[in-house]
Amino acid sequence: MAESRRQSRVVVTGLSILDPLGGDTNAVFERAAAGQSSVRLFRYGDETIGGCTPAVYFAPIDFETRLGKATCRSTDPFARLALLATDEAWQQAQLTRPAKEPDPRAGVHWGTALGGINTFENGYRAFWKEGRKRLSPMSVVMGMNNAAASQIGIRYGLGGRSVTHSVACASAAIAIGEAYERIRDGEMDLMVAGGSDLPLGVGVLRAWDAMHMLAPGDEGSAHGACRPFHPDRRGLVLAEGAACLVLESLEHAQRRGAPILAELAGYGASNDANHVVRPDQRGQVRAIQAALTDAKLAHDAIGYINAHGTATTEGDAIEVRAIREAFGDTRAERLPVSATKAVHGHAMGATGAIEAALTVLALQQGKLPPTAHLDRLDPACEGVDHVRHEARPAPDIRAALSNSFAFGGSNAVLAFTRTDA
Amino acid sequence: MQALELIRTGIAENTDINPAAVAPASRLDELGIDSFTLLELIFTLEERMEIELGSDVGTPETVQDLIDILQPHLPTDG
Repeated sequence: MAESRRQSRVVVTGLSILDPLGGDTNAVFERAAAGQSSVRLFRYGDETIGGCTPAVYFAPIDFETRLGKATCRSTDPFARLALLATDEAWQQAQLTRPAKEPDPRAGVHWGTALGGINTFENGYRAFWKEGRKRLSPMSVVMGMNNAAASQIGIRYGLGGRSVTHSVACASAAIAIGEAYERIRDGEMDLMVAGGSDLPLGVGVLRAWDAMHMLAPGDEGSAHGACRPFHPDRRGLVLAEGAACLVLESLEHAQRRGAPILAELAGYGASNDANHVVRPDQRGQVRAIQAALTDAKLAHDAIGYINAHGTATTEGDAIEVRAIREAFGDTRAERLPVSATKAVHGHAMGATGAIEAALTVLALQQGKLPPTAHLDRLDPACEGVDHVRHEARPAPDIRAALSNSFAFGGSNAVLAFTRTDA
Repeated sequence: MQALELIRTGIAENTDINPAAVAPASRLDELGIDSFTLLELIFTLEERMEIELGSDVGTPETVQDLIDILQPHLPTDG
C-alpha cells in the first residue's frame, strides 16, 4: 500500500496539436505566437437545413493511409484524430510501439465532449432522411464515447487504464489532470492524455446557435470572429481538433533518456455547484488555488496563464475576476494572461489539451502567445497583464497555468513548470 | 458479378488485405478477417447486393463458405 501512495514527479515527454492549417506542433505554436487565426467561414448542411458560421475545420484527411482501412471503417473521426494526435506525441516522446504484452503500468485518459456524435448524426440522417432501415454493425463501436481511448490503448499496448472523461469544455484538462494523478500517486509510469472532438455537425451547430453563443462572421471577418476580452466580443467559435500529451514519472523518463519538455507540477479541480451555464468566480478560484497548492507554487512563481477565455460576455469577465481574487489585485496586474482560443477556436473536449500543449511550449520557448484581435480591452476584463498584439518574450519564466472552465460547472487548472533551467 | 469478385471488392473496401491474395480456399482468419470484420464485410455485401442474409450466415471459415452463402442470391444468368 505504501508503494501505491508514493509521490512521483510527473513530466511531459511528448505533445501534439492537430490544427487544420497543418504543420507540426511547433508550427501550430508559432502561428499562435504570431496571433494567426485558423478560423474560417464554415458552410454546413444541405438544401434542407444548413448555414454558415466561423469555425475551425479540417479539409478531408487521408486517414486510411495513416491508420489503415480496418481501423478507419470501425472508428468515428473523433477517434481517428485522437490516434493521429497520439502518434505524433508518442513519436516526439521517442517511444516505440510495444511488441509484446500490454503494459500494465501505462494507460490512457482521454477527453471528449461529444465523442461519436457524428456517427449518431449520420445514422439518424440515414434513417429519417434517406429512408434506410439498417445500420452498419460498426455503429456501436464507432459511436461509443470511449472509442478514442480504446483505440489508443490498443495501438500502443496501454494495459493499465483506459478512462474517458466527458466534462464539456474541461474534458481534456481533466483527462490530463487525472492521468497526472495516476502517475503522481505511483499507480502508473506512463499515461497518454488529451482530447479530441469534431463539434461541427448540423445538430451541434444549431444547438449552440440556439443559445446565441456563436460568434458571427462572414468570409472576410471570420478569422477574427473570436475575440476574448474585447469589448465587442460576441461569443465562441467552434473548432475541430485534437491534442495529446505523453506524461511519465520523472524516473521513468530519465531511465529511458526521454526528452523532458516540462513538469506537470499540479492539478486543481473544483465544481461550481451553482449554475449549469453561468460560471462562478468562487469555483474558479478554488480550482486555481488547488492547482497552486498541489504544485507547491507561490503566486509569484506563475509567469503566465493560458485563460479559458472563450469570448463570451460573461465568462471572460468572471475569469479575470477569479484570477484577480486568486492572486490578489497587485500580483494579478503583473500576471501575463492570454486566451489562445482567438486563434484555435473552441475544440470542446479537446481544447484543454490544445491549451495545455501551448502552455508547455510557451514555457519551454520562453515566449507567451498573445490574445489575438485584442486591439481594445473590455474594462470588465481589466486587472491582469493581457498579452496583446504579439508574442511576449519571457526568458525567465518558471511556471504557468492552463485554465479550463466547463459548462456544468466543472473547473480544471493545470500547473506546468520548466525543467530545463 | 461473380461471388468471389464481390467478396474481393468487399474485402478491399473494408481492409488493407490485397484482394489478389483472396482465393476460395483462403481461410478468413489467416487473411486477417476476424469475426468483427466479417460482420462488416457481410453487411457491405448485403448492401451491395440489396439482400438481407439475416442469421442464415452461420460461421463461415473460408472464402468458399462465403461464396456458398452468396451464390443463391446472385442472378442466375451469370
